[in-house]
Amino acid sequence: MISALPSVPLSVGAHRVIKGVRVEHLCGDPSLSPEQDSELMLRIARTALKALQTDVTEPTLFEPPAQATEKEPVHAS
Amino acid sequence: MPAEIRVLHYINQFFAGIGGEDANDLPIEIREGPIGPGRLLDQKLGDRGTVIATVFSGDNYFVEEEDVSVGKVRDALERFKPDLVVAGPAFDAGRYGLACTLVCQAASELGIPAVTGMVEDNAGVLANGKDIYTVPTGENPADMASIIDRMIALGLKLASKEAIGPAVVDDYIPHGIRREVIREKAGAERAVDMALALALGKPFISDIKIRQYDVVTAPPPIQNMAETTVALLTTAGIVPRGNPDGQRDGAGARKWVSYDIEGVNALTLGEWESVHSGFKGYIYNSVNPNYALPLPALRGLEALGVIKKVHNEFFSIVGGGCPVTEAQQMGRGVAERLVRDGVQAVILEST
Repeated sequence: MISALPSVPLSVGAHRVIKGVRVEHLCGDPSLSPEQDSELMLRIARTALKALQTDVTEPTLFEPPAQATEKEPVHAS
Repeated sequence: MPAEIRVLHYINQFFAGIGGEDANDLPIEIREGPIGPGRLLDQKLGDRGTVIATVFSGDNYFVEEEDVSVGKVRDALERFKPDLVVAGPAFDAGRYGLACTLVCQAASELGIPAVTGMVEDNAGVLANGKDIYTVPTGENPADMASIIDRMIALGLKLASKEAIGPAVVDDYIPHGIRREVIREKAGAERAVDMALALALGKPFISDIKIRQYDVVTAPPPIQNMAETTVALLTTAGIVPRGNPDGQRDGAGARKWVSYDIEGVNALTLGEWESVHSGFKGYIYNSVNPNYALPLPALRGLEALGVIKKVHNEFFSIVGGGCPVTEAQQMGRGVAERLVRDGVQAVILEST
């Protein structure tokens, strides 16, 4: 799950918790440019998919990387 | 204990009279003397104590800038050196409750007794309840006066360093700790008494009251993401504009719903809105509803073949103030639908 307040789901036993941005804009940030904002949402979504593919035995926090670690093929021309 | 104790009080922006959800990003502030319900606290303390300072903050600010907030609380505690910290009561407000418990934890770490009050399934109790003393409350702020009396009773006992008794005796939410005590009657007799009381519909107090959450085993990881259909479930209360299903939070009104997004690449402002009442919805409602469920990003990953498919419908719940039992019922309902529809993974967006 993507959460703005990860300490809560982690404390009640949610297994795969992804750190979102804020309560009012969980999967993005309106202060960023549209391109950076889309890229942030993509990083969060990719982190969620990574969490789904990770074996966990206890509540685990997954933090989206600070910036893109790989170039998105979709941007290649 | 000094004849008159010095109390530091924590409240949120609403009870400080600054504003409601519009002011929930108010940075933490410290003032001398009581504010809002602190005046009642001060009055009820009478000659037993004085509210020397009030710390207040916006609900979102406190929990989102937790390190800054807790640091400022610590500074205030070191500056005012109170004999007791009182936080809230926070009733069923989750972020306020979480802030109250963090304030109490900061006080405990400095050796200062602390008490707060909120409903038993407040997020604050769920996260930190075992470490702090919390008076159980209802959801109605009209009960403020009696709750403050109860917080004072427990708080004075803590400040006097008296031994604290069991939760049912000293009026706090159980920590799940059991201690050996001598009872007048043997266990077998008490068990029979309780069974008889139960059969006759009379009240009785069980020896064991431990709050527990279901321990759910983590599902195994997805092996082949490219063959996986992924569904989205948001608790931000995203619905079609006009809210045709009458979604809202509150007892009895809450339900899970699903909406068709087949062929939809992104939710548009003209067609979708958030009807959650627990936070400022204007960013979802005037900037980008996709912040509540990252549909555009998932569509991009679907196009790249990273995932097989985004499920044809997304699920929506208004998450504010939701009791655990209702959440479990809705979770079962959504899970049955996902299994029926052959969905292998779900990303829950929780605000």
